Amino acid sequence: MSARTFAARLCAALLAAVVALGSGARAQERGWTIATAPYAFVFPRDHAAHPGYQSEWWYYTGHLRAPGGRTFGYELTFFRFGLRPGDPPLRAGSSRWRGDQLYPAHFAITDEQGQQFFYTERFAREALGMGGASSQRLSVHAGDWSLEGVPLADPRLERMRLRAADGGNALDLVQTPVKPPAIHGFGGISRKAGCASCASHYYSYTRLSTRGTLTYGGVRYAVEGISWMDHEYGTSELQADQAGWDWFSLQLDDGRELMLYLLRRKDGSVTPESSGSLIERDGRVRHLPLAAFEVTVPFGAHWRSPHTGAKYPSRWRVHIPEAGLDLRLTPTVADQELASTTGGVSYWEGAVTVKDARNAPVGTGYVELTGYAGTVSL
Amino acid sequence: MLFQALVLGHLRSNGLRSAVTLIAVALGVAIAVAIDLANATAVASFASSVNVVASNVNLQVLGVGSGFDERTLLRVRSIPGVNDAAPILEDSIAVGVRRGDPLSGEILRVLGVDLLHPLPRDAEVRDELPGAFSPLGTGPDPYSLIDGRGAIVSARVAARYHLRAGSTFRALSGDRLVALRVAAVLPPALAGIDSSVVFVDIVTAQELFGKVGRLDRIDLQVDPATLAAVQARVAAVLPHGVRAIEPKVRTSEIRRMLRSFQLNLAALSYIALLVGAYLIYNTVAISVVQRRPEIGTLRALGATRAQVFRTFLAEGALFGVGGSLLGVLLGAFLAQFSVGAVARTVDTLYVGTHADRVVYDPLVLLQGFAIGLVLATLSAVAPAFDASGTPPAIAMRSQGFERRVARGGAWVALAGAAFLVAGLIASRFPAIDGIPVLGYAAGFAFIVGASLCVPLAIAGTARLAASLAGSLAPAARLAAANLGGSPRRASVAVASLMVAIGMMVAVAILIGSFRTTVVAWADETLRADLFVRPLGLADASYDARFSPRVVARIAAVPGVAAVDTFRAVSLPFRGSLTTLGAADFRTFAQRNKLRLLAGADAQTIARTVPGTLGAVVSEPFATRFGARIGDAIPLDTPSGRVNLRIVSIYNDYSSDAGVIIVDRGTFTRLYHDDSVNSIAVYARPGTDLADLRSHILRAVAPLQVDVATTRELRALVISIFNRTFAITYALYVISIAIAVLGVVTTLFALVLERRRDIGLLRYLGLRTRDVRRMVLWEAAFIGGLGGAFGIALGLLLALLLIFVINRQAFGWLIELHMPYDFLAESFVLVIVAALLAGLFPARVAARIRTAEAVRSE
Repeated sequence: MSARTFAARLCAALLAAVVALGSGARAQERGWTIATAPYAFVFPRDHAAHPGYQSEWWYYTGHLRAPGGRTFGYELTFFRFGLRPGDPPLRAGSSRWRGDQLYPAHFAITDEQGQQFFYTERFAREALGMGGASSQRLSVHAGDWSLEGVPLADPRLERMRLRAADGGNALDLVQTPVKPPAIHGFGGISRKAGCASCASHYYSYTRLSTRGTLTYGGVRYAVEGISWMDHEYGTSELQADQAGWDWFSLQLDDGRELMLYLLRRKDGSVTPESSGSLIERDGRVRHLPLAAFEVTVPFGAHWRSPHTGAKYPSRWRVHIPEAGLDLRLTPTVADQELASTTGGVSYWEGAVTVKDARNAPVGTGYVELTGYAGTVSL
Repeated sequence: MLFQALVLGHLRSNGLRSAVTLIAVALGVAIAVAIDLANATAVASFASSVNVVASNVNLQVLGVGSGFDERTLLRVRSIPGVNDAAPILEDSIAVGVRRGDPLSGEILRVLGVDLLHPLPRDAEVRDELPGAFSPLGTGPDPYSLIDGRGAIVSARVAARYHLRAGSTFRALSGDRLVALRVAAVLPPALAGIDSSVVFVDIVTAQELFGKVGRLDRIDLQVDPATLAAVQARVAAVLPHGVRAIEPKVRTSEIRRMLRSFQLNLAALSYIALLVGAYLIYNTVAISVVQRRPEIGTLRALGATRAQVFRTFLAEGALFGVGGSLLGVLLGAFLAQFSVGAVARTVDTLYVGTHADRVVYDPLVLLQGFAIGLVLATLSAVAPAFDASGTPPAIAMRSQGFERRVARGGAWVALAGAAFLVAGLIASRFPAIDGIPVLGYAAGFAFIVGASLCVPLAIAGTARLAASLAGSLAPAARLAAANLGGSPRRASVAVASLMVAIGMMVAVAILIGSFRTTVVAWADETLRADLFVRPLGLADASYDARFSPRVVARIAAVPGVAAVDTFRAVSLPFRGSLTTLGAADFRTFAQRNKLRLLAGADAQTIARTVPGTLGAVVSEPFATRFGARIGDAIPLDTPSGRVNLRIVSIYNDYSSDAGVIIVDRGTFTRLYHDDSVNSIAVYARPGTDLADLRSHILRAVAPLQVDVATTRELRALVISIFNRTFAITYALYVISIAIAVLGVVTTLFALVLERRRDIGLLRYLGLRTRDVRRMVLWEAAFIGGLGGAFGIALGLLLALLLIFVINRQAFGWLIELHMPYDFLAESFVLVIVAALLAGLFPARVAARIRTAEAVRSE
């Protein structure tokens, strides 16, 4: 066994050990805040971190255009994961590594002309300030990747700066909301399953005007484009029988946006709590129950990952009669799998083109597919 | 065809002798392979520990002693080109220590790593992941790894101490008893070479070992294309005294430190192979003599000289292939034991490798095979040349070969004398790059020279026996005449015995002298009344430490007149490793424990050195690094670069890697480290030491320490010494076994060859009993000559080992001490062994019947 393989196996075993620890998700609920209705979002406070909840994320995806027409998709996500509730202060003489929050982060660039996909991930502990999130204002970082927000005149709106760099690939983007945050679900919670805790607080900036620089393969581009931001927090949101989800965020040229999520059970069925939101031109949010939309994958439209061996759907038809939408989604690059390099979960998250039934482009979108390469627990 | 006719058939009909030769070669190769594997494993297990935490580590940030500020990690991580930076703390704990037996238990290496950080892994093992850890939020509770002192142990450790996931085990960390909870057990396949590693989180390691805010090491993955540039950038942000080096540099430092030790061991192991080579020479020479008629016939029928030469060379090669193959297999098996023995010594004296599994380096196995084969083939060159060089007419006659040799005996002896002189000259030269190359060459020259002198000496002995004819029994007279008649064959048996005995004698004199020297040194330097050390076996890592409050508490115990402390750290120095120690120089004048050889005396040191950069270095340090009084020793310390100045050199046998001792105040100032590794306690006159010991134990409670008396500590020094040389004893016992096998084959050959003579003697009235006696006398002559020559050669080799090789390789100053009783015993032992070896050939000879023997004529 080579040293390299040996180290890899050891890592695998260490991870397995971490997973084997403890007595399972349910025991962890005690002490954490559960997302329950009614919940009233207060901005700008709710842009910041909520350490009372076990998990939280700030998710940015978007479509960028460089002068000369080159187009890129990108994803930059900051996660916060609480190891234990309560955040007790450090005792004197304690190791500074005792921090009880973890800050993983994912960074991906889709090169649509070159048909290439770049992905890297990070994993920061709280110790030494390597990872952190303010619970007062929007300020999150994992190492030198960061997200900083500055409130605008309208307290709901926030101008945000995103920074990430890894070798010859980097992002430095300023995001300005075009619409106010869209709050998903009813009563301030977005249900994920039937159980009491199975919900999250979830809102999106569905249309962000983006400007900044993108460095790809060592070359720096001035870019502008459109982005989507999700901010979601909760505790023990999924149930044991849930395998993963298909999530769609579409920005239509007519000024509307659409968010849909389908929670898949391990038996292949879809959780009835799956739903979506249609955001009107003026920012009003229309809740879409599962019955209001239909997502189908054409026969044979699948892509098998050479990295993980997972089989993902790779084209969709989204039909929402009450909104007059019949859309065809196609990935701009087939391989947009975030194949974890660190033993984390692998998933597919990629830029898609949005066309109507007559094959005319009507918008852009991002699709996230989890639970195809191993199950996801949340 | 010729090979088949001359060799294969012969081997079949001489099955026993062929088998014995094969076994001898196999044993020789096996020993060499077992030692080489042990040496390679010691280094490999250290090298492999580099990649335990992260894969593809190509740069390491290393501190000295108590490590460096953990915030260094942030600076290193922010450097472009650094792809991954894994923070690590290294320490050790003792587990399984039994009450009342401070040296029991086992040292486990603790690696404090970021257990919450999923480590990079290869795609190829993706399928083996039993579960996935979701950074989006896992159900299980990783926090218990941080908060609950979770430890991940190997399956071996778990089995040995009856641990399961969830169970708690107690261990000693320096002076403290700590409890760790087994979070998981690593399956054996994942534990790698070193099953002694225990993984804990950084939190646990920092808090357990009193290293909050510190790191010992950072393992980096750097873009290989820009390694040099990144290394420079990393080095620029490091605190003083912290290095950024490639792991292979570290490994080469270890290798360099171990070089003398390992080379010495390898050289001893190859002697056994040399004895095996003598046997092949003997066997091929016998088969040449026995088949002289066939050779003559074949030559007459048109076989060329080259064909005959190649044929007998092939016989040697055949023994080489068979013996080496067997030997490599046997060596691989024996390595299980040799690795343990070598690793124990390396762990105790040099560096913690914790090798507990043999690394079967194919290169080592191949090398063992190749050396066996080449040596066997070379041993057959001389007999093969003789076989080919005799014209058919002479070949048809019997015994011509031996007559020729008898004539050439004087020339051979002259060549032998030349070798001996060359050896003497070679021994006068200094070491080359710290390795006594010419010293080893001299040893080899002595062995070859002495071997070449043997035929003449045998002839002389035979003549002497003949002149003493009247006073000898008839059987003894016959035996002496027989040996004198075929000196060549007898001389090979005598020479191989001589080499084996010589080696045993040399090593025995070396070890005896060394032990006497060390005992005297220990008596002189261990002068305190009690010694306080960490509980449990200690290795060379200096990880087990006391906090300064232990020192204060012990100093305050009634009956304690004074305490001296000692602290040491392992230090990279000029491409190797050495030890930096801290002692209290202020009390040097009253309680100097060092035997100063040169430079300032104790009074001067006590008066002028405390608080300064003056240093006292050990003799091995001075030898290894060529250091002299007044020289500067540049050191990168946490307080910046300093130049220590050598004020004195002292005599030391504790470390051949060398020791630099500075004043405790200076060390604390430079390294910000006030912990200690051991405490020497001086009692007030009239204090009962047993009482004092229990008072000290009570004073430090609940901390745990071991308090030993001077006598116990001296016993420990001797036991470490004995353990170090245990493998050497094993080596020469095996060499002697090989040499005794040589006596068996020689006597056997002599008997078989002289069937006709023995038959005639029987015909002339010699009784069965006399035949048996005659063969036994031959055995006794061979044994006596081998023993006598062996002791002479051994003396020569011992002087070489003590005054040249050990002096040059290790810097040891050993006083010669002759173990006369041992020499006498070994002489008797050799003769007894030779007689035992003669029993079976004697029985065969006694069975030769007159009629049959005469008919064969």
